[in-house]
Amino acid sequence: AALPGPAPADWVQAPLDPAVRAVLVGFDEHFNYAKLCQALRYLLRGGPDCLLVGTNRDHRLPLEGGAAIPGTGCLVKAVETAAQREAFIVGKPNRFMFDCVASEFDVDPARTIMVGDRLDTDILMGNDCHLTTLLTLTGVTTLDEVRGHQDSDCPARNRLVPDYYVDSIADLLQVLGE
Amino acid sequence: CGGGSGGGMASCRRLSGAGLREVLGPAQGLLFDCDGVLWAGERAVPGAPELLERLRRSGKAALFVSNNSRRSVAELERRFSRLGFRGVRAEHVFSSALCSALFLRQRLLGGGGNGSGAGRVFVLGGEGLRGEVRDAGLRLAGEGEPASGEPVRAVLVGYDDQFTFAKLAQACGYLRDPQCLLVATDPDPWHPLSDGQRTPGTGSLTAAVETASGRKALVVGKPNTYMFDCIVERFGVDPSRTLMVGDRLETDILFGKNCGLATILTLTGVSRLEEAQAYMASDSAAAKDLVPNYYVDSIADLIPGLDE
Repeated sequence: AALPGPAPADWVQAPLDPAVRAVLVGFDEHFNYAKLCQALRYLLRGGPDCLLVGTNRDHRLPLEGGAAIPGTGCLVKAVETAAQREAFIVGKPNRFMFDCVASEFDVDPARTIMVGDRLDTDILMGNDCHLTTLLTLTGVTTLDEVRGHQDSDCPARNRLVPDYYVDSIADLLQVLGE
Repeated sequence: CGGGSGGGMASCRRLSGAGLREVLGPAQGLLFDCDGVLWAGERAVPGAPELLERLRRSGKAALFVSNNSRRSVAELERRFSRLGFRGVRAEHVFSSALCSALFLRQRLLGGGGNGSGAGRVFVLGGEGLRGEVRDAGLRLAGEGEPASGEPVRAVLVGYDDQFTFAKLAQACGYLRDPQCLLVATDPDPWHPLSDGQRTPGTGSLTAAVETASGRKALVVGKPNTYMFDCIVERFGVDPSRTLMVGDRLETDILFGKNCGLATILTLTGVSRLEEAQAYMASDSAAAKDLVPNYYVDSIADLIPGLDE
């Protein structure tokens, strides 16, 4: 909807949709202050009756050449900070998505492998859901990082350690039949 | 009891009657936050202009310290005048915009000299903030500019109601250089609007930049003490004879505590008395630092504490 004027003092006069009961923060390359303002208005109006949900907390989306663009986590943090409340995060490492998969398909965690490149999302979710976890090194994580968590005394860091790793998922071809 | 905060926990006593004279008598000066203390929106708090006038006649200094990074001190001087406050000059006003510019001047220019070779500053903020940075002798990086030419040596996050994802991405590009500073004008998560609504503050935008860049911002504004350093440098204030008056426990009152000032909470702004009392009842040491020494319903209540 068009903004009723150039400044926040104008924007907060625009009527709120009475049916809104949740603010959902996902990746939004058109995120701006006006939207942040609007999100805050709904959260203040609804209090605990208005959900605050984020799709994920990724800090950065890597691009080629080492560059990166801001991830959804940044936008979630902006809303959380303004509203002074914590979002429910649907994405990994939260087990919600695994529960969705498991409820649709007959998944036995003891016979399922989680394959991912990120320790604090993919591997953590896999470990928390009692899957076998396999780290691939074609993404953001290095083996040194894993060793750091493995050597740590902190149990939270130990939960980031995968059961296995491969240099690339192509390495799995070696053990699969014709 | 008197000026300095001394040791031990503050006890949030209502200031009135004889207590008022005991506290104000020895004070050489008062530092005031602005929004919610002197004015709310476009209205002066009733009695506030008279209080400042009475302070002047009593020979007590009044200085102003605000986390609001929207306006230049020149604009703030005009605002004081427009809202009925007389005799307040730009040099008495310490905004987070001004102090952020001074901070960056110190770090990038070594406190003096011209701007060449110092690098540019990428500012997320409005014209008031940008102007203060320019006035400090620094050069600004433009929006959407390619990463060429003079390097960007600092990203400054302020109140920016034109904040966009693209600007966030541009800031992150500059922050890949570990030599590039990340500075925020203030930590405020939101600001009140006159009808009880709230608008997101610099703190929420800084959180986005910190998350994307993996860096922690240096925060110039209250409760950090840099703005007090600026005040002391310009006016040589004695903390043990100075009172801090504010409306926000987490910034103004903690700032007072951090700078060794006795603190007065006024209830015409953000924080409620119940919040101060809850901090006082808390077991946490950090919470105790948010308890003001004194409180008043409005700064107009301070007037009877001054000589006729």
